[in-house]
Amino acid sequence: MAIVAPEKSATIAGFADNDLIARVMRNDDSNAFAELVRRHQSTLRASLRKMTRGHFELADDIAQETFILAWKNIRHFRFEAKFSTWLYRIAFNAWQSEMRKKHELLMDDDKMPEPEPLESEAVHTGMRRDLARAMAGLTDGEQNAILQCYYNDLSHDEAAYVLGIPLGTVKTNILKAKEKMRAKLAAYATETTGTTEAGEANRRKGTAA
Amino acid sequence: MNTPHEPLDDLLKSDAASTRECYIDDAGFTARVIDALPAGRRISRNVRLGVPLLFTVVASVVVICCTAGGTLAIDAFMDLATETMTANAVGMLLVIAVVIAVSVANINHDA
Repeated sequence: MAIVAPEKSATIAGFADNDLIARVMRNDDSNAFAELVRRHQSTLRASLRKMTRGHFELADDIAQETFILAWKNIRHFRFEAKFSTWLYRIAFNAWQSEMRKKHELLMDDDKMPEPEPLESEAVHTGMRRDLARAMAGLTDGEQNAILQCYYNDLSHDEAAYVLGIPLGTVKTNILKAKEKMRAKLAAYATETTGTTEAGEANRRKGTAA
Repeated sequence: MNTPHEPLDDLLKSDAASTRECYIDDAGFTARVIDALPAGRRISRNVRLGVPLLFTVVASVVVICCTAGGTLAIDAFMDLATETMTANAVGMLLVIAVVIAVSVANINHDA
């Protein structure tokens, strides 16, 4: 399929998402769809990078799969939710089936699952790094609830739609996640304070000697 | 989200905001997606649109062949026009009903 001619791309760039979706529905307009992909790729890929806990390649593969599924199923889009929310829902389902496949492979190979790598440590400093560490300790359900409500900026209702779970479960997962994270962040703070105090004591000892 | 001035809430919100601000460069991603789109849908849609047309042509040929050069069909239309309920007219009404039903089904399938 050929990619957008520049002048046509410039024309459709001013269209609202819903107009572009209508064009895709009516005429299978791949130029309009390309514009939708261009608009939403960054947020979707960022969200998937968090969901895959830093596996950039896997995140991009799932993002591509998400857009292909969106193209195939765009006739089912009812304009009741935002297009981005609908994409998050498809992405979440794609991520879930990817995780299921991965889990089955691990079971077949009879290997123990290895811990997922965290996001590049270099980009995190201080509290941010602690926050990433605290989030890594959450269950998938808790992490996904936090991700949808804070990082994807969705309401609890929208998060329930994306995750395909009841509203009450979203709220419970957020409460549990925040409780765990609060405890972990407090522990990291104590660790840091402890390390600083020990370092200070050692320095004082060295100066005295 | 529940309590406005909770430090963890503020931390999550500021981390989320900085994540959102950090734009991931397209770097050929959109082109890869568009290249990978299946091309089958347009073909199947054209085929679906062609079905009623083909059905109409075949039905016309059948009607002409089976009704002595179409005279029975013309008679049926004349009977319908003059509101005379003959067997021809009833048969024609049934044919019209079937054609409408098939067309409506196709339109709904497309929509």
